[in-house]
Amino acid sequence: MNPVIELQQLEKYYGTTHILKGIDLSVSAGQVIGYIGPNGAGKSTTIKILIGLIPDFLGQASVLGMDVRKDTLEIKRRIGYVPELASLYDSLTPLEYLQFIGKLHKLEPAMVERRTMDLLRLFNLEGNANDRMTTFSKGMRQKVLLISGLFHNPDVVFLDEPLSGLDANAVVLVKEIIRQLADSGKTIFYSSHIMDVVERISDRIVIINQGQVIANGSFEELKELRASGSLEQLFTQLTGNDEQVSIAGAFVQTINQ
Amino acid sequence: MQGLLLMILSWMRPLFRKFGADPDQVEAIVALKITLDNRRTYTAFSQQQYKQKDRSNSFWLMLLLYAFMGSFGCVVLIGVYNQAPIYALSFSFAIPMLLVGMALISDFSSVLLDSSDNAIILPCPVNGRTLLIARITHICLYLLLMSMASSIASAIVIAIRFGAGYSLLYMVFVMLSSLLVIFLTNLLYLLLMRFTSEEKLREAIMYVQIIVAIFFYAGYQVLPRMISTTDNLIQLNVKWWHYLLPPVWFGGSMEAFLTPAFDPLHLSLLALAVLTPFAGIWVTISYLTPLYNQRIASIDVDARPTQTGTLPQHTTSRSDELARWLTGSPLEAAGFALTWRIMLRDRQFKLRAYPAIGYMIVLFFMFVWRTGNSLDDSDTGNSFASILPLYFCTLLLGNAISLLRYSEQHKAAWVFVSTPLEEPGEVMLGAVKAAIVQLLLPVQVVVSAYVLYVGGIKSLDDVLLTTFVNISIAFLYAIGNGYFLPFSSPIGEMTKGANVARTLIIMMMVGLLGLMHWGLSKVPYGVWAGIPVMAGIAYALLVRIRKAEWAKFTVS
Repeated sequence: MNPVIELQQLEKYYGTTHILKGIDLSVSAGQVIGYIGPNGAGKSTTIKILIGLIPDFLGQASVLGMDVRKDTLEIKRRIGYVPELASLYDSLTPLEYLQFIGKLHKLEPAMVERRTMDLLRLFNLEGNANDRMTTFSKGMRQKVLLISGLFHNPDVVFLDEPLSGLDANAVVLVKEIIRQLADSGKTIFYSSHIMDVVERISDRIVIINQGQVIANGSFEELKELRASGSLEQLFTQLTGNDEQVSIAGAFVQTINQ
Repeated sequence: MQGLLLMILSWMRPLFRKFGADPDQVEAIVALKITLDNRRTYTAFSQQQYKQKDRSNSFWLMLLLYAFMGSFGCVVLIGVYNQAPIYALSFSFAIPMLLVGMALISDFSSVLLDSSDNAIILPCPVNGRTLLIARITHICLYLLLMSMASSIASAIVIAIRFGAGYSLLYMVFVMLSSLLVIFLTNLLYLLLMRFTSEEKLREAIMYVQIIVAIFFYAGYQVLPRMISTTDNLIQLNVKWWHYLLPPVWFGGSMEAFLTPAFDPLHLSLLALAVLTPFAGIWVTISYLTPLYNQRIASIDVDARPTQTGTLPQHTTSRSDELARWLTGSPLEAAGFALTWRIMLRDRQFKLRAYPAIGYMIVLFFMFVWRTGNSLDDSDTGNSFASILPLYFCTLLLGNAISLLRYSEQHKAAWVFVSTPLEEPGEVMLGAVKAAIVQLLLPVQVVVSAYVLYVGGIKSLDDVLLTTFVNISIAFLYAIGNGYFLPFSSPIGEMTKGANVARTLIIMMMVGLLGLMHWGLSKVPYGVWAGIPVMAGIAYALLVRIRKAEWAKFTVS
């Protein structure tokens, strides 16, 4: 089976900063990929390259068998993206916003409205469907963004910190949605800082650090790399920051002085 | 109205297709932008008019305002055309050009620099060309409407005087002139972007906004007076460099048709007026726009600040130094330093506070200009005219002090509540002091220097007395609008009407104090006697603020 996402020697410079230093990755359909790394490791950059927002990179990147550089539009049509920093036009209402996104996807307006209302209802937002989003909490905005990234039924979904601001019940709900999407054959590319969520929902975990893949495999496989109980421990060990305990000690000591 | 715009769009569909854009998506994006614009608060004219909930027609209201401001041009057209047609016409072109340029710089800067388009629209199946075309269409539609609105009055005047045909021609020239302005503004932006970072660019735009606001205020103060006094003086003494001013090209062209006069001079002006906008558009599309979008795209690239290896040095900054000198307790110093820094750094604060200071400077110069001669003649030096400018500073204080309590980051004020802060009055006093030193003092010093220069050393008593009056008034403003902690209320709460009554009362008190001052100046050593009294009042108010207890404060 052809891989859904394939990266070969992906490199990216911002000015003189070498942000991605040759990423190789291959993802097959129906998998949930947990893509994790410390701040500044290049997670968002990788995702932006995959969804065609950054055209000037080195190496090869393909999604659904299509070249990211050439078939950008066709790829965009078949993927969904939920961005990290919740930027949306917040003087619109959720309905107006989603209808706009629907138009850009060239979906049929009546269908968009029906589906939008159904999805908003499932997220408990139907009562706010016609309120301007300026008043929305972070969690409510995140729900709207999730809908906007998923409602056109994409084959591949890129999620960048999708759980931020959601309450505990919504987190359970979204995790379950991710699981069931994957079970129905869709591929989920999931980037997050919340290790135990990644640990639980990912079929495969990819850890990057300073622009390079330093671990790639199922949680079980990764555990064999180092003797650690949780992904969190493993993560701190692998990303070279196993001094956290001693730093914490020094921190407390400084306060107590 | 919105329907009309969308209809215009639907006519343009073949054009969009020809440029390689998707008409449906262009329409959707432009319609979205129009909705967003109608819900936006405009900075240009609304220094006093703050966010209200759920605006949905702000753009149309804005157009009305433009029509009103533009009607000024037709006054000149009626009044001066007979003496100096080219001046009158050029002036009537200068107004829409300036308004459009200003709108481009101030209101559209947020649209032009908006990178949320990249984050929201580009992940959808939209190609770059479609987004670009949609953006250009949106901006052009708006500028077209703005230039139309601001020149409608002049067009009507021309229609009545010369006939509807000339009026149409006039409108064509107005459109050409706004095209030229788009080109010039584009150039300006690119220049700014070339030399500065995004943050600096936004800063630069802010100063342009402030200067433009002051410039307009000055223009509207000065020009009517110039016309009334120099009616007979305007003659056809066109100097060569006048032809370098773009409005003169259009004014000259219009004159050529109206007179009619098609001598070489008018023909060359006409050529400039017709050719430069198109040349500008051609340059914009073929050279500037790609460059421009590249720049915009690079703006939101998440370039992280690279860590520098240097350790933060332990230095006492200037604001800490000042705070230590001017305040009585650490708590007060904290309030002072916080306010001092935020006033210097918060773009929103500057945008709201600085124009008012500029208006005062304009008023001051107006005053000096008109009374400059008579002031020298007064032998006492204590005439009403020499006292008056000293009171100008109080006018600017009200605005600045009332701004101290508002901030976009009002939520950060939780620190005042979460910390065991016992004397909130001290923090407030520090904040008010910072405003006095930073905003009032410079103006007071300049005005005092002027008064001393004109009136001589014998005006020293006036200067001293007004200094204490102004400080007292500053404290009064602070107390009168309710005790506050610096930057702790949401800007949305800023309402136009609520404080007007209080401000009026304070203004009346200023007037009263001014009258008393004038009265005292008639008594030998009267002003000198007034100084300690005023200083005492200022001190009493200061203590009142410092001693204010929590019960008087509200922190949202």
